[in-house]
Amino acid sequence: MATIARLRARLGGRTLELELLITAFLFITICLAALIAGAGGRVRWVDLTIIGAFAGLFLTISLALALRDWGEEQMVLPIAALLAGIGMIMARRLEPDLVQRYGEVYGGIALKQVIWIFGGAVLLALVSFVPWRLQWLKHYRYTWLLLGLALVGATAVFGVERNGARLWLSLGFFQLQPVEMLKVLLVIYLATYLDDHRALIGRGVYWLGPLKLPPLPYLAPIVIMWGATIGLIIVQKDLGAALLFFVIFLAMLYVVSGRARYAAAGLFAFALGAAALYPLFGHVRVRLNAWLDPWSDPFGIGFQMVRALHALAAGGWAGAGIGAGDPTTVPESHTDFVFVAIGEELGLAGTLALTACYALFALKGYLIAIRARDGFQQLLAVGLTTAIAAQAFIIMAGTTHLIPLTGITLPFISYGGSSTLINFAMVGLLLRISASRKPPRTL
Amino acid sequence: MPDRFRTRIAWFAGALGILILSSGLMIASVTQWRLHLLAGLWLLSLPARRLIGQHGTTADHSVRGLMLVATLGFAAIGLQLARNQVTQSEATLRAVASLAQPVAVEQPQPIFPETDPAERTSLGSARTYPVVINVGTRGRIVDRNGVVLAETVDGRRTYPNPALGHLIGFQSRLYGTTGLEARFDAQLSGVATLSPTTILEARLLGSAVEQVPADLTLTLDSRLQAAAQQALGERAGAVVLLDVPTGAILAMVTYPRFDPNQLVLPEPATQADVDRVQAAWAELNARSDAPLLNRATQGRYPPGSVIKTLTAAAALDSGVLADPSATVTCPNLLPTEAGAPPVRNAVDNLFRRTGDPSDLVRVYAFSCNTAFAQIGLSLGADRFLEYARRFGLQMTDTRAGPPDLRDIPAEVGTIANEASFLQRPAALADTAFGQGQALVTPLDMAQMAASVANEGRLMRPYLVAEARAGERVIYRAQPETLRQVVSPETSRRMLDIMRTSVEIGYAQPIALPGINIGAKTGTAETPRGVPHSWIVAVAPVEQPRYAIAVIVEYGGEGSRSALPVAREVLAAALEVTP
Repeated sequence: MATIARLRARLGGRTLELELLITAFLFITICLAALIAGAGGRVRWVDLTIIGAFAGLFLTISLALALRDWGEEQMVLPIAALLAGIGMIMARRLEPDLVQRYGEVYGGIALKQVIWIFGGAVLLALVSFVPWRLQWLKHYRYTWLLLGLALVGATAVFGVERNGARLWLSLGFFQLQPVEMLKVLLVIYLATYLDDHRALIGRGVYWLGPLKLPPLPYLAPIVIMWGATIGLIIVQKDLGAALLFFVIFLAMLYVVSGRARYAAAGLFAFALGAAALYPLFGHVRVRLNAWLDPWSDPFGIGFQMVRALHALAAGGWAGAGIGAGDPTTVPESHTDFVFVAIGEELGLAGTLALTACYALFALKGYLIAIRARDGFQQLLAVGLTTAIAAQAFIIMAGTTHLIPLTGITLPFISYGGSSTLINFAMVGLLLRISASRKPPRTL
Repeated sequence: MPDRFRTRIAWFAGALGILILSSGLMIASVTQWRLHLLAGLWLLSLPARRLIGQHGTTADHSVRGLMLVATLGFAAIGLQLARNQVTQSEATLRAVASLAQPVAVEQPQPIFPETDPAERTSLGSARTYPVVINVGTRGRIVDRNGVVLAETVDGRRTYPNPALGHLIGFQSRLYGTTGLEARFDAQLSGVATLSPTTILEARLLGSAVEQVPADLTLTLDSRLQAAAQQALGERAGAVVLLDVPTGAILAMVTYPRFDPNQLVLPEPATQADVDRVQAAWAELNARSDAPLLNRATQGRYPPGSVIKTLTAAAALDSGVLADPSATVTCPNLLPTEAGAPPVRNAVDNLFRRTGDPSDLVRVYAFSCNTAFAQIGLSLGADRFLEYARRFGLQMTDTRAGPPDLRDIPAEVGTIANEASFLQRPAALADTAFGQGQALVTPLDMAQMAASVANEGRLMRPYLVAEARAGERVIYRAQPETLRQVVSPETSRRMLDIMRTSVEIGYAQPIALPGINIGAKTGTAETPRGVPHSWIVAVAPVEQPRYAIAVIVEYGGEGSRSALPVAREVLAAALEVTP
């Protein structure tokens, strides 16, 4: 006990994060052990090295944060590490099955995912430890805006097509998904814009004849964002990203204005827009029909959903056990449908625990927002938290047949470079906002 | 204090919300569940909003609002998961198992000839995850008299009667588990006899478990099954014999068939065995006559004149015709609507046999199309459809409910592709006498005959009577009334009509000495020119015990091919010499 007390004193009392991280590693190690035992029990050095490096990296970051003692929020990082660890295990578990069922293209995804996670952790460390000021994000607002527009333009022109959607930018060694970058840029730009126009937006209404309308600085961004997201659906066929962007925007607008009704109206307008696209666009129609009744065409449009429901049902309370199920029968089991794969192998117990992790992450993120030191940082925290929470909700609800399926990744867990890197950078930003004792020159 | 009062109401609403959400978990309908979810979450948000309060700045208050939204949102996912994974999981597994193309069979599973033969995990469409169990101790499947139909000998599953592949299915390490072997996998393997804690313990610790495999007793009677098989011979078609009071399936034959033994690998297997099984499987799949299809439950055929039984029962039950002696005419031609060809009879001047004017009994006996077209038109589309639904026939475009039979894969018969089809008089008239878009399974027609004979009650058909693990009965089928299709009065009148059809009508050759039989033949037109041959029959009319439906594909007129088959099977069942 005395040793722990001494350590605690040395670390400035910041030990919760370390304890939670160690718990998360224990869980991941048990998962890996189960996986190895199920596959015949041959332990490979590469697994041990990876799990060791994984633990070492996150523990080092946590220790460094504790020694610097800026008072960052302590639960966000362990949750991110736990989720990323589960993602790492799932990629390792699914790779052989994917290769066997769908071919060699899937070879090496486990190792690649490990590299992305390590890269993400390094990015997080850079955001946390390189001296810079959060205010820079505000000063260079137009740079972010231009960068975002350039990304959209570049994807439209140079993008690589995959599955009928042009969503990737090839950088030679790595295919960037600009939507992920765009997510952060959007949050930063919206936080500056809304913080600047706070006073105007908060003001009353004006009248257009008998119609009560919100003030123009309020209405204009809504209309522009609505148009942009609907455009995203039409041009890029990316329903999930469009919904996510719009939800992020509405959440931030709600925080500035305090008017839930306008947010609700915005959501309604989005639904209306999607409904208007229904007869025009095959991909919207297919998604909606597959949601309304997947059983009417179980080998066609409803195929993926029926397989997913089957896998979840087979999982039951406790799951088949990691490595013991057959989750690759669901197409895209390593990316969009990874939650279903977890549901089959870890059961309701596992999926509920994951859901609780995301809920806890959201609550902690919003608490960071409430405690933020100025309006800009508060909006930034709200935007970042909403981006991760809403993304998790949209894909979890989509794959469990709660809402129509829109393809986006499950934050931290899904296989994918861009999303893993960006999500960790976002956690870095959140941590920085939450630092309550940072010296004034780093504001 | 109005505010305290409001707080109290909010808490009350929250409690109601929890009640609505938890009751929703048990509801099968997805739409109703979604409504429950919306209502429940909204009610729950009321007390939560009061807890949040109004203090702090606008922004702080809004962020707390977002926290509430996030919590409710993830709670919704949690509830949805509880539904998917626990309360509705049985229904999902069953629905997937009953899909027409078995999921597991569609993709060949990887081969591991070198795995320990004592160990296996289920590959079947039931997709259950039993603990590691010994394949050598799987239960037997026997018929109602104890004749063995499936057993495990030296670690290998064998099927002594090779003609029952469509019912019993097979358990193959290469092609998964199908049929009753899949549906009752938990009972046969013995996993169903284990307590959840034992399974969990075995899974966590990998310890051996003492499961007791259960034996399945089927409702089938091997003697009648053999009789039906011999009567049908090597003609494509199906025979279904039902026990009228209970709905139990006494015999179910389909042809062409396959021998499940040729799909089972011996243990241990050599590469030659694997090659042989794969060749057999490839051959079965390549054949154009679909030997893997169970025609009795999955074959969908135009019903022809046997559907007149449904039309007649509907007319009597709804009062459109007051009684069997009500006047009906049988003209040579019946115009229905402008532009459509008039309805005509199979033979001209049929009214010479039925009499002119005739009555329901005689137009049924001589299968008069124009008469039943008129009856259909007087019933009207809505009433006709209502009776078709009661008899278990659905519409192709609206969501088909699950088939009545749950033990093996089955299809739902349909009366029309969409409801609007029957709104056209020509279409309604055609459907009422057996043409149009209707597609039914032989089991549907057997059920129709059985429910008419069973005082109007439609029973759930079933194939497995019980599962017994040692002395313990772990599953027992209870005869289940699905619904009252027509009144007992209509049932009695229909039996009379069907009996007369044998006494004076086209079904006369089915008559057996000393037994009163009721029957209706059918001749279903096909694009190929040669019609399918149908018959439905019930016997004995005084106290109906057996209902039978027979189809012989491209067998010509109903009385020619299907009728002798039904006659032989009924003779065997009633133990009379034909």
